[in-house]
Amino acid sequence: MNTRYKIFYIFAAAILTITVLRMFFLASYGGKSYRQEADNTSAHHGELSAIRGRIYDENDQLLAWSERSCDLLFRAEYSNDNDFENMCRDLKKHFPHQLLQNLSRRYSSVVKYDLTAAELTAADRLCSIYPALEIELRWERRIKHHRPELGEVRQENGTEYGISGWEKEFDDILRGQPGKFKVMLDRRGRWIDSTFRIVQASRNGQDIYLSDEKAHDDQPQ
Amino acid sequence: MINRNEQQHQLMLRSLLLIILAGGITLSGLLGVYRTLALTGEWQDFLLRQSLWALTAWSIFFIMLRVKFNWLIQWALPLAGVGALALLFLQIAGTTLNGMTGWYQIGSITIQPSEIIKVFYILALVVILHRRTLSETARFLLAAAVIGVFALLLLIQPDFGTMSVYLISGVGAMFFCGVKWRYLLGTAALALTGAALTLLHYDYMRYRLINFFDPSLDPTGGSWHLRQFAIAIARGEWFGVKGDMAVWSNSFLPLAHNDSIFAGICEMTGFCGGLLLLLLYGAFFQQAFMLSAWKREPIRRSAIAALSFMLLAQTILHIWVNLNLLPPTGITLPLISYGGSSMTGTMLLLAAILIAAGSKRS
Repeated sequence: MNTRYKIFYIFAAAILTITVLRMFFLASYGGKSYRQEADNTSAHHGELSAIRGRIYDENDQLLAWSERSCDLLFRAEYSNDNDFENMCRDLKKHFPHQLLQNLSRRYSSVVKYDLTAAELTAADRLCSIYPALEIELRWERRIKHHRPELGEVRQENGTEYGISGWEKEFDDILRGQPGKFKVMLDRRGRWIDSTFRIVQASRNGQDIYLSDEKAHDDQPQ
Repeated sequence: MINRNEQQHQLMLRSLLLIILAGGITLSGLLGVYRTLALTGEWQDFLLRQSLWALTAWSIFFIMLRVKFNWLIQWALPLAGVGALALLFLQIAGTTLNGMTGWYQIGSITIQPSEIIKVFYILALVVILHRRTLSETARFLLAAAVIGVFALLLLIQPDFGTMSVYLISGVGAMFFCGVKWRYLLGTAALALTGAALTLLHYDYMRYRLINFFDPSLDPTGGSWHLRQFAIAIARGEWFGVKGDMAVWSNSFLPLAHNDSIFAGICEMTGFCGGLLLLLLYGAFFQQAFMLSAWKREPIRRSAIAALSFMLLAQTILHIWVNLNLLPPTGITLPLISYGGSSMTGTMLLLAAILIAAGSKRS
């Protein structure tokens, strides 16, 4: 074999060795700090809210329960000046009854509370076009027959806490146990849906049945 | 001593193997382009375009195989001249993308001439370095001038990645054409001086180099690209991330389907997948250089080696940039990265290798 070919093969073997060693280094202990950095940058851990238990009266009539509700939000920090006009035009088309003239590109605001099923479909499509739009899920406590003893709830990180009346008194039973999830975020801080994983499942709250104005804990239904 | 029939048989077998390996790498590339874009919702569009480019490039390859080696040698210099003019004309009619004037826009298609003319650049060098009517010094000076002209034309775009490939392959062509060692060392010294002058002239290049040696200087700016490469490869660990978790390739890695595709593939398939790809390339280049070793005619032998070396140089530069062994610069991975010009340029090089490996009769 020609001497130059021999030199070349030695050179190529050295290059290949360095390449494989570097790959090995990054895949093994050398990549630990990078993997940690990736997790810090992109992994988002959150709470999966549990469904708050229902409250029934002494005649087994439903008094209070929780329902999922969706709001359409405008997030100014993700707003793109070039897209703002187009976004407003599209919003007007799908949400003609909203006061969209109040929407400012500088401030985040709620475009529409309590989206209906049809509105949710339209909003989902708009969110995929405009990064500044976002659908936020929350629990809404509904009351069928108002009684002052029922009390009120407040929301914190997606969980409803009883702050007065029976809602407060039986909060430990009604609230349940929130779960945990992990999701990866993209460069813009948005969820990558397919990476969503439940780390710990949530445990829903138990229902409460009241008897002679004296409530007692019952088995969940 | 091996007889002529045995030699022909070996050349045919290795040529066929080279085509099969190139086909395998092309298919891996399509898979890589799909997986690096799978979470973005744009993959259908990119995959369709890349498949069409692959089909076009392979068609051009099979058509070009009908060309005779003598014709290639006869036309190498004029075609390299046309190529140089095409690079020069970019300054007037070229399109600027990412701060680089390196493309011609024809309708919705962008063509990068520096990728297409690679084959003629190398063949021109081989022709010059085998022209026995000239003295050895004259041959060397002429070849050095050709390398210098092409490097300068790429520098004014500015496309440092492709310029590096041209410079290294130019020196490689000299090496395989038997240029004396002192001339080779002189050329290498000249190339290093040129690189140093370039660094002095372009502030951002200097800044990139400083950050390459000290990534902690500007983690969100100068060394950001470097960290994304390392994170993507590190995330892959041994067998790649599970399911759809190739988040880095799909979001953080800049141009993951193109200049960063090796890091993207490593994230998806891990060390084992990256090693498999390296072995695939290894087998491809081994066959290409064995074709060169089997040829008896010096000009064909040098042509095969020089053309293969250009592909090898580009592959190593891409992988080493992705592995943070070199400062970041945009270079495609032959047959894998997204892009029609790169794919066509690579297939033209492969066609020229096989033409040079063919017999006078075939």
